[in-house]
Amino acid sequence: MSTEPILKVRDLVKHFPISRGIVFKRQIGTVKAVDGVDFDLAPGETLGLVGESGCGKSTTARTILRLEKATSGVAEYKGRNIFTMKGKDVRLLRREIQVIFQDPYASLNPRMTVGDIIGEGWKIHPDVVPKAKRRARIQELLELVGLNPDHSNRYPHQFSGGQRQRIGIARALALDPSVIVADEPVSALDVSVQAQVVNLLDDLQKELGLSYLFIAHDLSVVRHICDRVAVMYLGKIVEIGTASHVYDHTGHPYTRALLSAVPVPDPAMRHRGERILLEGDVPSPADPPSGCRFRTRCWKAEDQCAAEEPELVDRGAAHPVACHFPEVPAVF
Amino acid sequence: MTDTFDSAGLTETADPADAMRVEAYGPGEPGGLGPDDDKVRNASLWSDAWIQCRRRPLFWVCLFIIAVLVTAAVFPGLFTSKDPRECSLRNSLLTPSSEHWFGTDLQGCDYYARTVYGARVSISVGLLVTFIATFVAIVGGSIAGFYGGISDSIIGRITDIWFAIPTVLGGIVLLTVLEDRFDRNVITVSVVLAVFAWTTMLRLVRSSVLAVKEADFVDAARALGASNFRIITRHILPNAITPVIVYATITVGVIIAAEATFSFLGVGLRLPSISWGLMIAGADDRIRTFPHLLLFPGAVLSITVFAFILLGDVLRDALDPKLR
Amino acid sequence: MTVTEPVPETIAASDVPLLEVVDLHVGFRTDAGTVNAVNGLNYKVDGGETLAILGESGSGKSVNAQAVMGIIDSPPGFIPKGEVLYRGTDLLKLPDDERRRIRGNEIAMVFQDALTALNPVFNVGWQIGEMFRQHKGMSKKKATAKAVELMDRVGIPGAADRVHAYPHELSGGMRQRIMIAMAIALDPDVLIADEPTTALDVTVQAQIMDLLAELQADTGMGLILITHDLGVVAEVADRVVVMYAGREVEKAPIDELFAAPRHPYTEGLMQSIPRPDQVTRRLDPIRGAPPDLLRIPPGCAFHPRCPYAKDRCRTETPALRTISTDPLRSTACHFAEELYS
Repeated sequence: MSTEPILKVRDLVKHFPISRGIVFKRQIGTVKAVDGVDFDLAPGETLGLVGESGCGKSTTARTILRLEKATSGVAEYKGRNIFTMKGKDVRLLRREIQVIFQDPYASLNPRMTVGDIIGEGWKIHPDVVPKAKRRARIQELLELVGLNPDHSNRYPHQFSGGQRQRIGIARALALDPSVIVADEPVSALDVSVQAQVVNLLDDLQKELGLSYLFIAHDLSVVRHICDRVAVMYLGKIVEIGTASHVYDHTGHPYTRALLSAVPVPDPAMRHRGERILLEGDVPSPADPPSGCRFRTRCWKAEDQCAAEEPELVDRGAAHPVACHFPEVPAVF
Repeated sequence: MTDTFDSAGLTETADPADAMRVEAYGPGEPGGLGPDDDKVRNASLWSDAWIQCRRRPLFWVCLFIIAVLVTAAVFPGLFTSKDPRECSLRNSLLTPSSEHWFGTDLQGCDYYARTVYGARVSISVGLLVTFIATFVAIVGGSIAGFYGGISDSIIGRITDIWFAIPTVLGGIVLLTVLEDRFDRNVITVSVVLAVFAWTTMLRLVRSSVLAVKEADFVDAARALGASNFRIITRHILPNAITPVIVYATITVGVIIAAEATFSFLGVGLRLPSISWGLMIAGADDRIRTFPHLLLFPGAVLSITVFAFILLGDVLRDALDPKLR
Repeated sequence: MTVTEPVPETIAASDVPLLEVVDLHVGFRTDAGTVNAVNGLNYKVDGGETLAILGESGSGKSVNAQAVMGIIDSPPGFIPKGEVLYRGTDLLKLPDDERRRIRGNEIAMVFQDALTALNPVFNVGWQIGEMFRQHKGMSKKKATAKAVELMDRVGIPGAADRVHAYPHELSGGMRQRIMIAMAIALDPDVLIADEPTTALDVTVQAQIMDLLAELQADTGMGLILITHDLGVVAEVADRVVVMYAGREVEKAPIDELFAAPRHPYTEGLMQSIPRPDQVTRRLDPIRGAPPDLLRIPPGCAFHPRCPYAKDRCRTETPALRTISTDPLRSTACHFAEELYS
């Protein structure tokens, strides 16, 4: 894409110290939750960040939102480093990057009415919507996310899971952001309701020109909604590319294993015979394997994989893959 | 106690994956719109708690007792036309009669009037101490729980050390020491009691702030750019306060008993103040001959303490169904 | 359009099925009224067969499993009606101690959340061994040896070392394997797996589903798989019962169900999920949300969300019936023949 990325992340690292002792704490180790992550997010684009639990995808999102302090690295919003911003710049940044959470039950304050929840951002950034217009704007937002505009005086528990997720979306939209970080926005919802929220996110993007950083473990939803996909394993991106590249011309063995493990809702595909079962569990991020982090579970691993960490570069698959021996892509 | 079963409990009984979100789903209305307007229960925690409470007779009994006591404390004249300080030795140590319902004491004062006027001291000390202690606990507990780190360590250690001082002993020592400089009045006794009453409550605030702090809506507020003060006051405290309210209600009862204890031991209020503790103290060497001197203030004191503690219990059941 | 009389089941292997559930109802009494969690459920499972019970939260699928296992808290739960027949004996009428013997010995269950289902203060070997000590009266030593054997069988590497591990020291996948080891310890005839992989990552989910299939092939047990995941159903089930608001809405062999659903709810579910293996067109969601079980809509419970609903659906509750054109399947839609021919 020729346009300048709206969000640019370079060598993002987030380490959590493991400490022991109550009065005199001493550090006995480090959990390398995110360990050198690079990606760009273009305006109007949806980038999916996928991986299994503990791969660091949520931590990546939280650092970009400044909910966690990054250990090192750079995240630029429109060319300005998010991590070094102070005071007024941070406040302006909050208006630009908003978040949607996974759990529609935990993400809304049960003591506030829906109107107060959606309008809270304007109490902090009073110039976004003038006081006199706030009531009308709340109704507009409720309508925009498919809720009854007259329900602004209700409390969150009077709504169903899907409706609550819509309230969370309305809150995120209240400050007119340009980037929305969605952390597993549909995985806590009922199957029949997920599609409603996915479609809503789709529509909002078209209407408002939003960019999404879409964090999910559900590869089916990611394929549906994302333009590009980054696959994470143990704190690193192992493969990144357009959705069709990553899904149809998979380069990294881990991505292949991950994709083959996803059950396909079609019994005719049951004996498709290419299922790869990974052995064992993900190693601890406190003590990741040397070289390629996936090598302990990889069926292609060789000595080189233990000695040398593979870089995330294009190895002839038309998109970057961090593997010394990538799957040979079909010519296209 | 009525064994009510509410929907929150039900969600726990059932498997989480298949939780029947009775609360969450309004009648399924097409188009993702909400429940019918007329059927909506309106719907904060407090109105839910109110619905829970008002079904329980115990709640009304406690409330009635406390209402009577508070009225007596504010307008004692409504309950008796006699002046508790108008005593005549001619009437010394009369047993209960239609003229003197509770009898009279050694000075010949009307014992019923003194019991009524005694409510003022007990209720003011109980409320004042609880108010001060709750305030300290909320401020300290919020800071410790929210900011963590060094502030938590410092506040935590101070609380632990304070906690180790026995309340009665500490109170006696402090009141004795302060005797030279300050009058023994409701304020001094309250301040001294408050000095020892905040510790458990502070721990309670801290732990419940810690739990709420992790909620996603706190992160959401942070992502909106909310200040720490706003996050604490608007998001954390409203969700962390319920156990504190319950505990504070119980504390009122405990403090009323403590004030009586101090006055009885001679380190609390002194004559000519009118207090149940002092009345009991004045009765102690005549218990065998004139049991009414102990019986009436003792019974009223016990009922008062009991009412506050039971109210706390009822509130806990109503505000926090998980504790049941 | 001919409507044949309701037939409870379509595939019958032997004369007495291994496990049969007949017209099961389960309710919960609450302050706000009675929650009707299961409202008339019928199915049977034979040895070596996998029956999937598919539904969303509040569909009653898990409550049904708890009723079959006899682990519904009562009060508030109660079973006003229905039979749970194990080899022809109604479990609901058995005395408590009989029931306890069957639970674990004959019918076992795997729960969704292995972390809360395992006791945190005992090591896993002790917990597996407990099955042998309690039901078989084995010595402590022998029971532990059996536990190691079982852990090995469910694919836990280094079982002899891990037998003394505590639940929190194991990963989610390993814990679920422990749960499965406990469930199969006494060679049950029926295994009920209630969302066994929902809390797990996909690669671990694939391992666990594989393990269950392998164990089933070895032992010939009947497997009841309770899930909300159409993908998982498509991968492992032989037959499917689709549940909605505590009722069965469609029952069919797996291939037929996915090839052509015969109930608007099933159809809606299939159109609303994206696929991992191909680019999907815009999703076609089911509108609205699942109903409040305190106020299940009259008539067909699905009618407020159904695009085809007519007046009859609002008043008359459709019974599950076989479809005249397709005797292997049944549906609870008044208009199945018109809609899907």
